[in-house]
Amino acid sequence: MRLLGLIARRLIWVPLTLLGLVVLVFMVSHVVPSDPARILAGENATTAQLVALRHEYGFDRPLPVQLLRYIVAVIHGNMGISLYTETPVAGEIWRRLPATMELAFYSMLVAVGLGVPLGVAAALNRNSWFDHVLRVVTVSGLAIAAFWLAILLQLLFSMWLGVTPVQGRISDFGPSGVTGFYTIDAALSGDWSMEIDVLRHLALPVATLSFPAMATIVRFTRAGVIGTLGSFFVDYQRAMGIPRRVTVWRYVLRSALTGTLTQIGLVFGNLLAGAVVVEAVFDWPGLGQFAVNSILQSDYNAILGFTIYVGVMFVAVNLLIDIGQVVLDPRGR
Amino acid sequence: MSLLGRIARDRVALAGLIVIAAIALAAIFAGQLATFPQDVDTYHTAQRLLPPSAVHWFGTNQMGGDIYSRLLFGARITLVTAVIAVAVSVLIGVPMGLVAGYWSGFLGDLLMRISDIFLAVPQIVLAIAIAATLGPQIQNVILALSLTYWPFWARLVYAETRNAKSEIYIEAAIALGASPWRVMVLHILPAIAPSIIIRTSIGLGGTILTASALGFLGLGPPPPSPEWGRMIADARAFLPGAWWYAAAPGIAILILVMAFNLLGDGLRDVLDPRLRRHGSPKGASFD
Amino acid sequence: MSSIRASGGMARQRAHPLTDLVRVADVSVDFPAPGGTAKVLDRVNLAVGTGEIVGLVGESGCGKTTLARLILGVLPAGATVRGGALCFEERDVLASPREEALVRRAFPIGFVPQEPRAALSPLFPIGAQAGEVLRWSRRRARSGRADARRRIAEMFARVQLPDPLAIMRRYPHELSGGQLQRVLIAMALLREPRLVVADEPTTALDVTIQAQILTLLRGLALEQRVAVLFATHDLGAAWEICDRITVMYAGQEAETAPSAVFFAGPRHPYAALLLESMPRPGAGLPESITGAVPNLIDPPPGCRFHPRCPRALPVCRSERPPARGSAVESVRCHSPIPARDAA
Repeated sequence: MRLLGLIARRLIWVPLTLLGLVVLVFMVSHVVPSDPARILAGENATTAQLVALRHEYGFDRPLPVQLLRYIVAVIHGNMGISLYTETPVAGEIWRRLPATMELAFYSMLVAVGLGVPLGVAAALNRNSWFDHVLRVVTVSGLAIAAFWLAILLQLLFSMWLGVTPVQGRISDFGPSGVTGFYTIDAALSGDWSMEIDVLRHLALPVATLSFPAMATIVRFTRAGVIGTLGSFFVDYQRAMGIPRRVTVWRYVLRSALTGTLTQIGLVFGNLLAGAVVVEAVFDWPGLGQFAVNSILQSDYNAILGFTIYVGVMFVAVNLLIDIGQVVLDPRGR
Repeated sequence: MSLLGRIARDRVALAGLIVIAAIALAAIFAGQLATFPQDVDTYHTAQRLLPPSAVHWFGTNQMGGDIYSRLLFGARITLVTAVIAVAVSVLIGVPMGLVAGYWSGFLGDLLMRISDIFLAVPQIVLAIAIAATLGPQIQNVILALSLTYWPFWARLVYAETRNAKSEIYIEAAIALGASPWRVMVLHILPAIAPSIIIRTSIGLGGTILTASALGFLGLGPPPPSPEWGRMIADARAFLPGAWWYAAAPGIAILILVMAFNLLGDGLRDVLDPRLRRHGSPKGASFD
Repeated sequence: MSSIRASGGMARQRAHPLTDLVRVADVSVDFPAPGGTAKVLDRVNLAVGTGEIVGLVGESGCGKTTLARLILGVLPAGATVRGGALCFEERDVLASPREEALVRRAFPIGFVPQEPRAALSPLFPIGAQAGEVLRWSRRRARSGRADARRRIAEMFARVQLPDPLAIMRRYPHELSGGQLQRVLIAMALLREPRLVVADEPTTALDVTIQAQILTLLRGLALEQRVAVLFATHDLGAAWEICDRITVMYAGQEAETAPSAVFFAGPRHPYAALLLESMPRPGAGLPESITGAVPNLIDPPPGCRFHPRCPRALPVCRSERPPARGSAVESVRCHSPIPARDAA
C-alpha cells in the first residue's frame, strides 16, 4: 500500500520536474541571440525566404509564446526539426536509443556483476594485499577521464594488439531485429559469426564505461559490508552457533546491498555522462554521438531534444530504484 | 591539533595535498619551469610530433610545440577553471541550502524542486548544452560548470541542515533565544563544515574531469590554448604513431584528480568523527 | 547495615551444586584503547552450577558484559585473553582453538542480549531467524521444515507469545520490545542449552514488562533445568530471580554468596555500599558511594576499590586480596565486613 502511495507521489512531481527542465533548456538555448532560420536556410537565402521560414517555424513570435508552443510540442513527442539533418529530432533520438541502451546495459551488468563480489571479497579480507591492490585500482578508476581511457584502450587493443575493432558497433550491416540490441537480435537470428562480431565491438566501449562505475560500486559495497560486519547481530549470531559464512552471505550481504541500490542510481547517471564521450571516441551510433555531432554543428534543437530525453530516462531510472528500495526493505512497507 | 597537523598525520591525505601543491606551484611558475614557454602559441612545424627526448621531455605536438611546456600552462587553465567553478557553486549553493533547510516550508520546497530540475540530467549533459550555446571560451566553461554544480550543494546542505536542526543542541540554542542567523552561522554551519570540505576536495577532482571532457568535445578554450582535454582530442588524429601526445595530458589529469580524491578520502578520516574505521574496541563499552 | 525485607521475593537457597557447569578461573582480558591498554578483567573467577541462576552484578564498566561475552565466545576483535582457564564441564576452551571449537559444539549456550532489536536483522522475518538458530543447533539433522516450524511455534507459546504462527511471519520492527525479548528467550532455548547467558535482558524494557520477563525467565530456567548467568546492574532484579549473586567491581570479582545470605549481609565493602545506595521506600534518600570508577588503563594496584573503600588497609594498596571462603560463598577482601548469622 505504501508502495502505491510512493509511486503516486513521485508521479506527480515527475511531470513538473520535466516541465521545469524543458523551460530551463529552452531558456539556455535562447540566451545567445541566434538566427535558426538562417542556419536552416543556408548562406544564400534571400531576406524574403528568411522571413517566410521564420514565420513557418514560429521564430518570429514572442519568446513566451515560442516556449509554450515548444512545451506543447514536446508533450506530443515532437522536439522540432534538426537544423542540420532536417528530420525530426525525436525520430533521430528514437533510432539511436537502442545503441546507447545496449551499451549502458552491458556496462551496468559488468560493473555490478564484478563490482559487488569484489567489494564483498575486499571487505572480508580487509587490509590483505588483495584489498590494497583493489583500493589502488578503484581510486584510479575514479580519477581517470573516460574519454582518455577509451583512447588508451583503443590504442592498446585495437591499434597495437589488433584484437578488437577500432570503432563502430558492427563490421557490416546490423541484424534485422526486434529489440534493437544487436547481441540479442543476432543470437535470435542464429548468426553466430555476427554475434561474435557484435561482442568484439562491444568489448572496449563496455570496458571503458564500466570501469569507473565498477570502481564506485566496489567502494560502496566494501564500505557497506564492513559497516554491517560491525553490527551487533553478527556477534549475536556467532554466539548462537550460526557459522560465520552463513551470517556473512545471507544476512550481512542483504543489509549491505540495500544501500548499494542507491549507489546504482548515481552510477547510472555517471554512466550516461560517460556514454557521451565514449560514443564519440568509438564512433558508436548512439545518443552520445548524436549529442556530440549536434554540438559540432550548432544544432540547437537537437541538443535540447537530447537533453530533455536524457532527463526523462534519468528520472524514470531513479523512480525504479526508489521502488526497488521499498520492495527490498520491509521496514518501508 | 590544528587541521593541517591532523592532515599531516594521515598519509593518504598528505600525499594528495603534496601532489596538489606541487602541481599548483608548477602551474604558477609555468613561465619559469617550462623549457619552451613560447610554445603555447607559437609553432614550428619542423619539429612536429617528435617522441620524448632529453630536449622535449614529453615530445612535441603536431605544431612542433613542446608538450611538457604546454602541459604546465594547461595546468593553469585546469586549476583556475575548477577552483572558480567549484567556489562559485559552493558560494551559491551552501547559503541557499542553509536557508532553505532552516526555514523549511514553501521556500525550502521550491528551492529543492528547482535544484531537482537541474539535477534531472547528469551534470555534463546540461553543461554541454550551456557551453555549446554560449560558445567555446573558458568563461563559458566556468559558467556552465557553476550553473550545473550549485544545485548539488544546495541539496546536500539542505539535507544536512535539516538533520542538524533536529539535533538537541541546536534545539537548545533556539530555545535559548538565539537568532536564526546566529544558529545557522555559528552552530549549524560548523557542524556541517566537515562534510562540505570533504566533498569540495572530491568535487574539485570531478570538476576537472568534466571540464576536460568539455575541452575534449571542443567546448573549451579554443586552440592554440593548451587545455588538457583539447590536447587529447587533437592527439587522436595522430594515433597510434605519436602515442606520447595522447598519453601525457591524460596522465596529468589522472594524477591531479587522484590527488584530490585521496585528499578528500584522507580528510574524511580526519574530520568525520562519526566514521569509526577500526572495529569496535574504541567504541565498545567495557561492561 | 539493614537487610532487605525478603518477603515476596522469589529467591531461594540452593544446595551446593554438585558440578560446575561453567568455571572461569583467573582469567584476564585486555582491550586496546586510545591511550593504552584497558585491563578490563583482572584474574576473574566465576562459577555456575547445574540449574543455578547466578546474578552477575555491578555498575556500568565493571566488566560484566565482557565476562559474559568471554563465556559466549564473542569478544570483540582486538581483545586479548591472558592466563587462566574457562571450563565448560571441566573442558578448558582456552587450551587451544581446536579444543574451543569442539567444546563449544558440544556445549551450546543461549544468549539473551540487552537490545533485542539489535540482535535481529530487520530484513528477515522472525520465524526465519529462529529457524536459522535451530538449523545450526545439535538436533538439526532430525527436523524437516514443518517440524522446525512446529518446534519454533511451541517455544514461542512457551514464552507466552500470543499467536506464535503470526509472530513468525512478522518482521522485527513490527513487534514491541517486550515481545522481541520473549522471542530472543525462545530462540536461546531452542538451542537446548545447558546455560543461558542473559546480559541485562530487561534494561531496555518498560518497568511493567521487566517483571513479566524476569518471571518468565526464571520459570523457564527451572522448568527446563537450564542454568542462567544473569548480568545486571539492577540489584532488585537480581534479588528477584537469582539463587546466587556475584558482585564485580572494575574488572575484579568482589564477593559471591547465595542470594539470601548476600542480601541479609554482604561482606565486601563495595557490595555493602552498593546495597545501601539502593532506594527504598520510607528510608529517605540513599547514600551514594564517594569517588568514581577507576580508569581501566591505569587502574589502582592491589584491590581496585581501595581508593573509595571505608575499610581500606595499607595492604589493600599493594596486594590483590585472596578469596576467602568456599566456591559457593566467598569474599575477596583484606578486611571484609564480619559475617553475621543470616536468617
